[in-house]
Amino acid sequence: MNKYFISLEIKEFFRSPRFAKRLFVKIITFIAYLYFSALAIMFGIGAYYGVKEELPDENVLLFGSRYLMYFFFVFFVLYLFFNPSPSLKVRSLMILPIKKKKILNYFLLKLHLNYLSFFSLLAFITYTIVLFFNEDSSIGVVAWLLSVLAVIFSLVFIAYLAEKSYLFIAIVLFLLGTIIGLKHYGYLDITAISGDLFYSVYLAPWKVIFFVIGLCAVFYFTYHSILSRFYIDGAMRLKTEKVMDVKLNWLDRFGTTAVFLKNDIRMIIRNKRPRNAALFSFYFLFYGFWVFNLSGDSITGNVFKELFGGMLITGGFLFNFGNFVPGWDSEYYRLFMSQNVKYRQYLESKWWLMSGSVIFFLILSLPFLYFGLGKYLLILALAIFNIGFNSYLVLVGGVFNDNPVRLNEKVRAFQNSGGFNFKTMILGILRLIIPILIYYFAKKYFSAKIGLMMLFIIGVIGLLLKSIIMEYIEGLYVKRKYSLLESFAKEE
Amino acid sequence: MLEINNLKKQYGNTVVLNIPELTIPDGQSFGMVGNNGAGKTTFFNLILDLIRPTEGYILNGGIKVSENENWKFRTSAYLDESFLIGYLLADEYFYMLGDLRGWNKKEVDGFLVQFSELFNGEILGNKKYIRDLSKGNQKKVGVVGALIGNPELILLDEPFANLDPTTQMRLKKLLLKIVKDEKKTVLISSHNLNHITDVAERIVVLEKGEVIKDIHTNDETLKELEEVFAVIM
Repeated sequence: MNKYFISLEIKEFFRSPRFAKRLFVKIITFIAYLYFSALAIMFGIGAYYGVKEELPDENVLLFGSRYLMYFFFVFFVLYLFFNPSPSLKVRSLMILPIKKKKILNYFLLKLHLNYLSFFSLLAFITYTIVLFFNEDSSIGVVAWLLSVLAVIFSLVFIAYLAEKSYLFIAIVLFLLGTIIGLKHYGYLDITAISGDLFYSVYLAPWKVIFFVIGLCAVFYFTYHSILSRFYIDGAMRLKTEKVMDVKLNWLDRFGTTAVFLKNDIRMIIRNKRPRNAALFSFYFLFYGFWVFNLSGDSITGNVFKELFGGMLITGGFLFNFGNFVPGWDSEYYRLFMSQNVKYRQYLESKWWLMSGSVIFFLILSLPFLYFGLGKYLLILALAIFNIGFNSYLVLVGGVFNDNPVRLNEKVRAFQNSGGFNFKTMILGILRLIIPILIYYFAKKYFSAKIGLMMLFIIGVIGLLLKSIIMEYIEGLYVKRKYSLLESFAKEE
Repeated sequence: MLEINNLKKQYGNTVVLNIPELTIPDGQSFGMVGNNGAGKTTFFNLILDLIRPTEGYILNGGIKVSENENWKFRTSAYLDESFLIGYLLADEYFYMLGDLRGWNKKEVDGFLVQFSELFNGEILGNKKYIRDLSKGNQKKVGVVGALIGNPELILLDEPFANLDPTTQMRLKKLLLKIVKDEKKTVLISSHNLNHITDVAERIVVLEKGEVIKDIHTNDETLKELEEVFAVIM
C-alpha cells in the first residue's frame, strides 16, 4: 500500500503545473538543502570540538545536555511556525478503499518528514558519532542519542496536537522568556536540570526506557485522538474561521484607491500567508539591535551591515509583502481585470500600503534614538529611500513575478520561493547594491553624512517624480496583463 | 451592441474559437449552448479582454476591447469563483463592487433588497467568509455581484449550475425581469437547455469553436436544440 502513497508524492512533485518553469528554483532549493545539511553536520562536529578546545575543563556531553533544553524550545517554536499539516492531501485519500489505520500511520509518519526534523537528526547523529569515536564508545552515548530523538519525535506530535494556535506559540515563547529570566537572575537554572536529566541517561543507559515510554505514550495519545476524530468534520476538517472585522471607513478619503486599500488590509488580516508576512516584518525591527554598533554614537562600522539593517528596519513589510505583488491577488485577478478600474489605482493602493508601512515602522523605531541621533537619521534617510526608490523597484519586480500565492496556506519552510526568478533576483540584488554603492563611495570620498544625504535626496526625488514613475510601471503591468492572468489561472 | 469581427483564438495549431461574424444588439438576451470544450468560456474571456484573440477583434459599445478599457464601465461578469474574493463577507464584496462602480453603501443596500428571496437569509449579515459558503451560495453572491452598478452588458457563465431547484426558478425569474423590464443585454451560457430557452430570446450553438446554429427562440426551439445535441458527435 505504501508504494501508492509514495507514487502519489512523486507524481505530485513532477506534475506540478510549474514544474519545468520552476526547475531552476528546485535546483536552487536542492542546493540549499545540501547547504543546510552540511551546516547541520558541521554543527554536530563543531559542538564537540568547539567545546573540547574552548572549554577544556568541561565535560562535553554534560555541556551539550545542559543546552539541549534551549534547542528543544527553538525547534518546537520553529516547527509550530513553519510546518503545515499535511491534512489536506489526506482528505482525498479518505474516500479511497484504504483502511483508516493505514492512512493514519502514513499521516503520522509524514509529520516527521520535514526539513527541521531532518536537519536536527543529522546534527545530533553526527554529534553522537564524533563523540562515540573520540570520547567514549559506550552504550551510554547511544542511549543519550535515543533519548534526544525520543524528545524530538514527541515534540512533533505535540506540535500537531496543539493545532498551531498563536496563543499556544505565545505561551511557549512566554515560558521560554520566563525560564531565561529565571536563569539570568539565578532563581532556577534550567540548563542544570536539562544537564542532569540527559546526562543521567548517559550514566545509566537503562533510563532511556523512560524516554521511550514517554514517546510511546505521546504517540498512542496522538494516534487515538486523531483516529477517533478521523472524519472530515473532525480532525481532518477544514476550519471555518471566525470573522475578523475591522473598521476601515477612515480610509474612504483615498477615493478609489481606498477600495483596494481596504481590500488589501482585509486580505492581510484574514489570510494565513499575508498575515505571517506582515507579522514577520516586525521581526526586522529587531534587526537594529543586531546591526548597529551599539557602543559608538556616530555612524561607524560596517557599511554593508548598517545599510542593510537600516533599510530592513523600516522596509521589512515593504519587501516581505511587495515581493509578492501582484501574486497576492492572483486568486481573483480576473475579477479585478474586468472591473472598471485602471491598473494605476490598483498599483497606487499597493504603493500607499507599502509606504504607509515604512512610516509606521519609522515611528516604531523611535526607540533607536536611544542609541544616538546618528542611528536614527540613518534609519530616517533609508526610510525615505525605501519610499522613494525601493517601493518602485519592488513593484517593477512584481510584474515579472507571475507565481500565484495561495492565500490561506502557510508557507512551508524552504519553499518560500514563490517570488523567485531571474529577473526578480536581479532586481533584488540591485535593490541592495545601488544604495550600498552610493553610500560607500560617498563615505569614502566625502563623508557618511553626505552618503546619507544622497540617499535621502534620491528618495525625495523619487517621491516628486511619483506620477511619472507610476505611469511607467503601469505600462509594464498593462503589457504583462495576459501572461499574468494565464499564470494565475494555473493551480500551484 | 457587441460586434464580433473575424474572431479567432488558436493555441498552437488547435483552433478553439472561430467566429467570422456575430452581432448582439443592445437589449438582447443571448444564450449560448455547447458541449464541454466548445469554446464558450474562451468566448467570454475574449469579450472581457482576459485573453488575446489570435485574429480579429471585438467591439463592445463601439470600443475595441483589446485597445481601450472604457468598455469596462458598461460591462460586468461572473464567470467562476475566481471572480469572488474568498476572504470577504458577502456584504463587503457587494459594497466593494458598488464602490468600484460608483454606488455608495445605501444604494447597494437598496439594490440588494429585491434579492432577499433568492438569498434565503444565508448571504447577508451572515458572519462567514465567502470561501466558507457553499458552492450554491457562492454562485448567488457572484451572480448578484455582477448585477450591481447598473451595467448594460452582463455576462454569466453557467449561472444555473450548482443551484438548488428552488433557486434555479428564482434566478430564472430574476433574469427574465432584467431582460424584459430593464432592457439589459445579457449573455448566458448554460448546459440546461430548458432554462436557456426560457430566458434567452436568441440562442447560439457552439461546437468545436464554431457557431453551428443561430436561433431566435420560439415554441419549437427546445425540440430543435435537443435534436442538434442528439447528433453532435
